[in-house]
Amino acid sequence: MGGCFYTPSVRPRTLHAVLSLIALATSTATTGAQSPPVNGMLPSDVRWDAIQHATVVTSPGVEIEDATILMRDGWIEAVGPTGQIVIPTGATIHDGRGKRVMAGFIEPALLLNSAAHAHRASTEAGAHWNAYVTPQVSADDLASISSAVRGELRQLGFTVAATYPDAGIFRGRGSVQLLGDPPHGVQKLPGSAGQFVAFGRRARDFQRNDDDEDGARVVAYPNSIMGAVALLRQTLHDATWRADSIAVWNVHPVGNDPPRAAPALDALTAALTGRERVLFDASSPLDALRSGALAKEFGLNASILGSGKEFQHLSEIAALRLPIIVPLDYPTTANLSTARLAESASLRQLMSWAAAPSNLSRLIAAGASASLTTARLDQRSDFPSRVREALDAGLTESQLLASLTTTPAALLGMSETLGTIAVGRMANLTISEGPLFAKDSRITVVWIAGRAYDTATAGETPFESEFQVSGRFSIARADQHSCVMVIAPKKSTVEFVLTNADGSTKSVSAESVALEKLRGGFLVDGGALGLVGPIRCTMRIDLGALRIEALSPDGSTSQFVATAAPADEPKKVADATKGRPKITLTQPVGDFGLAAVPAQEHVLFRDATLWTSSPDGIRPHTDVLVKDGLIVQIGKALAAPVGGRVVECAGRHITPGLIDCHSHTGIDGDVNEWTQACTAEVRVNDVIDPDDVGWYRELAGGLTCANQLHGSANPIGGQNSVVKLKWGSPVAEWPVAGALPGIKFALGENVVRPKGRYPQTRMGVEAYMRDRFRAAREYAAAHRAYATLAAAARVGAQPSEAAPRVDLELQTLAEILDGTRIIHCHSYRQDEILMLIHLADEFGFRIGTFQHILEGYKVADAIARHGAGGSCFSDWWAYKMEVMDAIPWAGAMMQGQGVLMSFNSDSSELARHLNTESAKAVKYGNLSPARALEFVTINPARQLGIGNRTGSIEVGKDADLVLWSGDPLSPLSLCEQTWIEGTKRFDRADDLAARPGRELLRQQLIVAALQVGKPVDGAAPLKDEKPAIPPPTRLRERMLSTREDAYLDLWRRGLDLRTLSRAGVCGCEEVAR
Amino acid sequence: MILTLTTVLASVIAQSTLVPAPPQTRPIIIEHATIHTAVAGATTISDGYLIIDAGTIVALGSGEARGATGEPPPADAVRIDARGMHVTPGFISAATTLGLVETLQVRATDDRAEFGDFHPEASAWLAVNPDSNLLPVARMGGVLMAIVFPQGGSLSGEASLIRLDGWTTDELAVVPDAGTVLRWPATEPAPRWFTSKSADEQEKQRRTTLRAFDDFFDAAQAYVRARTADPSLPLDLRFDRLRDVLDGSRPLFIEAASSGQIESAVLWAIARAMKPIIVGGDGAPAVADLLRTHKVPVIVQGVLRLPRFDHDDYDSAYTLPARLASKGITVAIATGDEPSNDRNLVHHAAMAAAFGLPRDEAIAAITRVPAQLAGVDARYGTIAVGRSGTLLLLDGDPLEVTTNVQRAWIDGRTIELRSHQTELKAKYDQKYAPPTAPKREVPAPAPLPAPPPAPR
Repeated sequence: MGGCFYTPSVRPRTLHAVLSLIALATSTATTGAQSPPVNGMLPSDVRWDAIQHATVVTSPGVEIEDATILMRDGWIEAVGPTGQIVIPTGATIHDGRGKRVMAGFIEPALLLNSAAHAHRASTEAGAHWNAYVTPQVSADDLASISSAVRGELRQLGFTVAATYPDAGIFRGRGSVQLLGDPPHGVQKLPGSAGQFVAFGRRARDFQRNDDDEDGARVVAYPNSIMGAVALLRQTLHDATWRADSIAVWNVHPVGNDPPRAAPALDALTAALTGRERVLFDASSPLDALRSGALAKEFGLNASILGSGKEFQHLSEIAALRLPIIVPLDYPTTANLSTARLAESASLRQLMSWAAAPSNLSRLIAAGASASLTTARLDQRSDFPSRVREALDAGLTESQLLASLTTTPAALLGMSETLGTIAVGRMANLTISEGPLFAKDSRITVVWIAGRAYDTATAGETPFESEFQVSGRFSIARADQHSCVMVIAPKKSTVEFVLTNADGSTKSVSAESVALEKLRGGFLVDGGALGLVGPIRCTMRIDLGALRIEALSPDGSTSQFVATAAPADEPKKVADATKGRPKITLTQPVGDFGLAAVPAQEHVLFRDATLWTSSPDGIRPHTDVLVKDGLIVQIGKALAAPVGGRVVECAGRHITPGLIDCHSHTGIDGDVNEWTQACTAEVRVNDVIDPDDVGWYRELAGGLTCANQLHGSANPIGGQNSVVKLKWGSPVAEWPVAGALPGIKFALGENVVRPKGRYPQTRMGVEAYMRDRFRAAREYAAAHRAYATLAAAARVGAQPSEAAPRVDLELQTLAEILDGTRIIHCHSYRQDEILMLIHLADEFGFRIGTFQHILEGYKVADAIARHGAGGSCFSDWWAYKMEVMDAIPWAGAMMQGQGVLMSFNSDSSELARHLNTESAKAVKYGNLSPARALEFVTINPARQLGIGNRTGSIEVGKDADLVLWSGDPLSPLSLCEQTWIEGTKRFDRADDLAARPGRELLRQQLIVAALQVGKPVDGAAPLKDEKPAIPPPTRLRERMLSTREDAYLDLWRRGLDLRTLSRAGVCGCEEVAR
Repeated sequence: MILTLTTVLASVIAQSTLVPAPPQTRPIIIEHATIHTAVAGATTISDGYLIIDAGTIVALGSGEARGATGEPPPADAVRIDARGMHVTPGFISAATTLGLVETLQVRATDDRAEFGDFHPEASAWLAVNPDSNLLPVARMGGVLMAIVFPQGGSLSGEASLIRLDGWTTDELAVVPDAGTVLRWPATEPAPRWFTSKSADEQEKQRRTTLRAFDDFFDAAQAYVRARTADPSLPLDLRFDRLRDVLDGSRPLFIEAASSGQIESAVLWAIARAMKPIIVGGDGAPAVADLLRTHKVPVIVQGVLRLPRFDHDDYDSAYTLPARLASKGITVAIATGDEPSNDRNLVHHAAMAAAFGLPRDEAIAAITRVPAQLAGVDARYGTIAVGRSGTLLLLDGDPLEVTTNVQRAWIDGRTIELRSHQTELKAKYDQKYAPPTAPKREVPAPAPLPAPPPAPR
């Protein structure tokens, strides 16, 4: 970095543009139209400032020792070695000796309360129908950052912040603001910081809209994460369509209605064309992955406000290549002090606790562009200690500096203005004594647009009022006893601590303490200090020392000089800068996590009893050869694979991987988007949680594939997701290619339960479905008609007709009508079953499966004629009125009538032993064991449209296999191994072997947590980490308001909420009383 | 409004129309069976026989059936050749609400929980509906007796042992006062998403509850002492019902899940010289020494259950009975489920057996042990001479899912193995098969007249 840095060059054009828009104080360029007349003399102060002899870090990793920075009118004029910079006459010179000068830090995500603005935007003319879609709100219009927050941020070294509205789902547009204090110019920088969107509203939004003005309950869409994703997707489609429509109207206004006002959709145009950034509020790692998927789908210029838990899905998130803003929200420990209290702390919680400080460095090492934020911290003042923990966990100082300066500047598209110290950059500087955020370092001054703000104190006018000296001082005394005076200017207290000859201490507080900047006074009880009577003291800061004069009752005075005493305050136990152990992360992070993604194997299963679920039935003493994820050979005495593995199976049985045709395991957030009677646009695929420990437990019961369904709260629910349980692999690999797209429908009691909405009866359910199918038919016709328009009319330079709107709800229903999507219909009573069959016949499509279908045996002939499948419980009944007539022979009876039947779980417990569920088809239905097993293998595979690739043991099919210790229909047999596509996903022997190690690690982490800190939030095992059992919904607050007693009772009884979504209730918000 | 609803429901929920079995009139001989006696330490009898007379097992052995003193068996006996079949004591569903509720969804059918916090005077047997449709279904799963638990409040009421066949509650009741049910408060703070209460608030709540327990039991003890000394003192229904529990002659069934709860509950009950039985028992292995020292049995509330915490071994619920038994703790197994699923009680025992509980103990956990806990082991729960003829004839290994109950007897009375469900099956078999088709997989009543042709 040689050469002359002082080149008072012409600023780049962009900067002129910036400058001309910012009224940076009295810059002559900006006096004029925007400024009020000056009441008095016209100011003409030339703001030349120079910092000399400082260590200047011009950009991360680039330092100049003994450097000078010259600033003029808020901009950097020159920077370089002190000897090379000419200081103009009139410049104020600041001594920078012992200081490190860095580019001013940038807070890239400061959330401002926008509830009122969002409410206004949601009720203005042309407002979006959904109150959470208010992208037209702009942070520019919100109240400025409060002076307290500005002060807090400056204390941490921040000079500028990107602010965003915080309410709703489409929350609005951000703006970049300087963190200086008024009246020095306008605080907002021009341009947008991008749109801010979220995957759910907050509890506060919800409450605001939960009741209308008359107090009646208003059900506000969406209540689930998957509903929020659907709303995001539909709104982005709508904004695109609107922009296209307006373009058409501009060319062909005659005869067409002008577009109506739609400020919300219009506000998204810039984002959709990539001109404006979109920041996703990703409050979990899975939200971050969803952000990436949406950004890709709509070609957005996206960035992510993370959760701090990105390490849980590190490589997937890094692979998104999206800038990410990382909070330092680490879990803190709770009371784990006894074995009883620590009983509930899971390995996932503990590992996340330990790994949290390494999040940022892991992200950077994985190639992510990561910026730091103070967002999501309970207290902003925790920031330095959290940074120190991150440094301890491997973050380098230059990475830290980059994440505070250059990276957020690039994220905001303002690298030409912010983030580095160079000629032409804005004069935003952060000055630190000592290494950045080190324990005894402090940030002394920040410069914002060329103005200095002292940060040693947090007050608004820091230099003015506070006593300039604080801390501990020794007072020399004749009697040799140590006396320490402790001054705390902020609290306005003075205290004396005496140490007697025997080492005992005594402290006395002064009274009537009055402090100002350079002097102070107080009254202290002399008796306590070995003197007589009240002693009146004055003190002053003069000649570089603190001088005290004491006036005794007898009128005599004595003088002392106080010298700084060494700090000997006990180290706080709660200081978390040490102690979080370094751990190796597993996949998934925590319980039953794997060291690495398991690999596909070339493997021979030798001499097993093979339950093929094919016409071959049960084949004793047979070998199966697996390669590249497929079954390649079945027979006797097959050759062992070269370089592969042989699993000796003598005496054991192998079945196809079991398939659960009705599961709600691992759905992130609510299982129901219950706020509307039709939610066909909602996709379970958006909310698969691959980390749910339920998957591992189900693998341990031989399950390899599950039909994840939306709940049954709506006549027309959301789209399903068919997944294989690829525990340890990225979630993107879970969905089964080729599975028939499906959708959940529901009939009967559940769908009429939500009050105040149509339908309330089985009559209404029929009418409602008929109406939606009718609308879908018309929708499809309109799109077909448009598609058949002459190409020129459609896509020419001047399209003459706007395309019909994309409506994801109707589009999904239209797919049902054209046979590309199948219905999985929750149903019980025979009347409603027949109703849907009639409706399907009328609209000309075939129903995929009836789910539960407990009265299906009464109309099995009609179901068979229609060609629908049936998927029921083996024997559950009586949990509600519409299942009082359920019988355990139903499965076999319906099969006997020609209905393709499966048994399902609808329960993360039952899904762990579907093999013995299928045995009930033998017990009650007298089916052969081979046919019975098909109820949980090939039959559900066919129902889901994957019968050609899984569900049976046949050459060419996926190697989804389960090894059992004995007859798979016997509850006395154990599942020993579960294989999916030639990859071993569960091995009981490995599981048993790993138990001691897992428990040891858990105990070590508990001990580490105990050593690091005292309990902080005793109510949670570990704060803010995914709890041992996931919350039932994001609406926990709402649920608690009505069901807290019931929840606490479940906890008392040691019950798991996940088991309480009772059979057939499909996750409807129902908890055992 | 409420009246209307009740009326509608009463007409919708059909009552069982099955006829209770008459008393035994002829001796019954079951021979050539595998007999699982469930007697402690005794082995299974192969090629076994037993004779039931006047409700009681009078002879038991292996080989050719003989009378109690070696004489030829009674000539007028009903002889059942049970080759390839198994005999077990009738299963006893412990800690169930069977009979107290028909369907949880309809309040009018739900008599599980009395109002208030302390109601030891509420006795379960009084509210068991003898015509509940759930009872015959449970019987077909082998459940012939049940220890019915009231729920609600802290001191929920009195548990009752019932038999699952009879005209009236009087006939159902075996031990009306089998013990009292107490629900122990949580000893560890619930995580935040269970509750909005802080750990401190929860702790305060717990102390308040435990203080209330002490106050109530102190008052009850004082009452019993005073009234024993002076019987003319006025009667207190609540305290009076606790007499047997206070002196340890009847058990206190304490619902407690975590190790902390169990520890707290057992220490409390032992200090008061009561006889605790833990119901739940998730955390029991961690305090096994305490349970063993004080000979406290555990009723495991469900084996087919998810582990409580994410880090628990996937099979922790399955292995719980074995882990307890291996530490010398007496274990009964209950379903912990809705009472409509009581018929699957034996599958819970089977899963425990698959995961380490010896098979005999698995069967004992649903027969001998619950009988012992209800204080009737001298009469029920095992197969031995002198015991009640309350037993099952099964067409296979009792622990296999594919096995069905072929015959069942309660006190020698031959129980109808039919239910609302079998009747529905028979009805719809008629719909799909010609009325002449003889094949039936389950016992069914006399063929009904052919139904009118299906509407479509």
